[in-house]
Amino acid sequence: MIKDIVETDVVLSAQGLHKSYNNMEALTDFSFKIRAGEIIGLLGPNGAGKTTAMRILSTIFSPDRGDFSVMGIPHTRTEEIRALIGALPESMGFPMYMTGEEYLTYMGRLYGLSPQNAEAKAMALLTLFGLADAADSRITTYSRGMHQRLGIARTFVNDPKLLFLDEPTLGFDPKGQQEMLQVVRGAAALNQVAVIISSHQLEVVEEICSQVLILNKGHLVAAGKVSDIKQKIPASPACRIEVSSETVQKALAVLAHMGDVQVERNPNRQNEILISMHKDGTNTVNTILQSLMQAGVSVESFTKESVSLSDAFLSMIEGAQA
Amino acid sequence: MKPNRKQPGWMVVLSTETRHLWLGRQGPALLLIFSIFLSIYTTLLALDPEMNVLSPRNMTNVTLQTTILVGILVSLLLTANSVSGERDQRSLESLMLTPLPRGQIAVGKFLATLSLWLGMIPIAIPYIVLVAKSTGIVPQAIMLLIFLGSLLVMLCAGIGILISSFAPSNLVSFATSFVTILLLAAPNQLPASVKELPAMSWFILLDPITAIGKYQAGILDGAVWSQELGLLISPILLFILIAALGPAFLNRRLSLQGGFEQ
Repeated sequence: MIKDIVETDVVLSAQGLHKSYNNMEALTDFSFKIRAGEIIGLLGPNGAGKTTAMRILSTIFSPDRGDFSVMGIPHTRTEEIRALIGALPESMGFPMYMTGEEYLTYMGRLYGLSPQNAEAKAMALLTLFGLADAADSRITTYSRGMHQRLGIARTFVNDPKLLFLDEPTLGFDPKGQQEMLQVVRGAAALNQVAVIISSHQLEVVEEICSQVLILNKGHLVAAGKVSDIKQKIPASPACRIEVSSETVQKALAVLAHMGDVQVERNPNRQNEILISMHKDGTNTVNTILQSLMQAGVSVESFTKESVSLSDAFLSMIEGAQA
Repeated sequence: MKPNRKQPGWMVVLSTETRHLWLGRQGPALLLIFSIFLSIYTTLLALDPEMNVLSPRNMTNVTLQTTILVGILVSLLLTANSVSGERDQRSLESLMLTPLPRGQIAVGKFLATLSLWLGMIPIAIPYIVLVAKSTGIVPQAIMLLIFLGSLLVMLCAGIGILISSFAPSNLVSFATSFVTILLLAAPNQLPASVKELPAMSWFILLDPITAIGKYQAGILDGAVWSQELGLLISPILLFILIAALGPAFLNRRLSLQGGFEQ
């Protein structure tokens, strides 16, 4: 009973998906679930199977084996699933002869909206994505970033329950990227849309996703919360200090006499020193700072280094390849 | 949002594609080229006695055949581009992501290209009248243009859209479509003596363009409509086959990369 209640908010559930092309396994035994309002990052190097997974789950490809369901609808009922999802394919193309408004209206009509509703929806989305001024311009005149905005706007035409975004920040400037992420966050939080984002920009994934799935050579090598994934990396504690130029040599001498620390000087910034502490050593950030200050080293800045998702990702991919 | 589909999806594709064909200048430009071509052709054929070595009935037949062939080629040009063109510009995936059955995408595009043939018919009629006016076969020629011409154009456009749906690129689609149509049209260009050979009779019956060409020649030569109706079996059956099975087949097998989905 409890399980049933918990499972009701599952938007997509995939079990044992397999896909191969010309006897090459592109995706092997891929299973996961996503719940309403969740944002999951799908990570992996080129050729890991991310796009294949997205295309299977968005019903463009059929899986060779395994199954999945969207809102309880089995994957074989593709048209019903497509009515519930929005997807931004990587490097999406457009009918260049259309205007932005015509394109979104056309898409809305294909989802069954009346002409009036489709036009209203198109204008609302163009406004939301900052394209209202270009609504009547042909898509061929749009910039790369505008194409991407239009592509993401298109995914919202049918008020989806599940969104697939393949490299959504491609072509955006930093401001545009933040605006787009804000829209996606809003959709997840306010409308309980489940979102799956595939991106090579790991800082974006780290910023927006609650969970990640890491694929490598078609295999799921890690899955879980971003914080849990990062904790799986056996990283040594480290910090970065910047000292006054007069006391750099003194600082290096003090650090050299401390056991269990590794010191690295930034070749581009002579006053900056990266200190890595041995995981099981006796030195802590506190003892190091204390020693430096007692020796008269003027510490101008201090940054505690933490494991990034990028570190975790690289570690897992390298681990899987070893 | 609950889809409220009062209009079938293929009609949405049809109306959008038709509007862009006609308002996007492609349709009017093709019709202009078609009318210029017919003007030059009929002038050379009918009005210049030195160029004219055919009887008026034969002239009518040749003009009709040429008109239909141009109609086929133009329709083929459009259908060959229709699905593979979307594939080339990476916009097919976006269409395939809509809840519209994939066959309906192709049906809408197919019907939109036929709208051009509907524009070509009224342009061709005055030229047919001009060539056939002294023969008394103007009504037959116009009926043949409207009914058999349309049947052949629809059939070839159907073949074109199937090729376009499975071609990995526009180039492959164009090349395959033209080779297919050339192969179908070539036997009709053979000398009458060759076409009369017993070995050719089955071939003519099976090749829709040649079969209709022979039927049309017979009608313009004074045969009654019910005579040699057997010649119409293969084009009609082939068209029914494509119209009935094509959309269902595409629903299941239209793929993103071309070829058949595994």
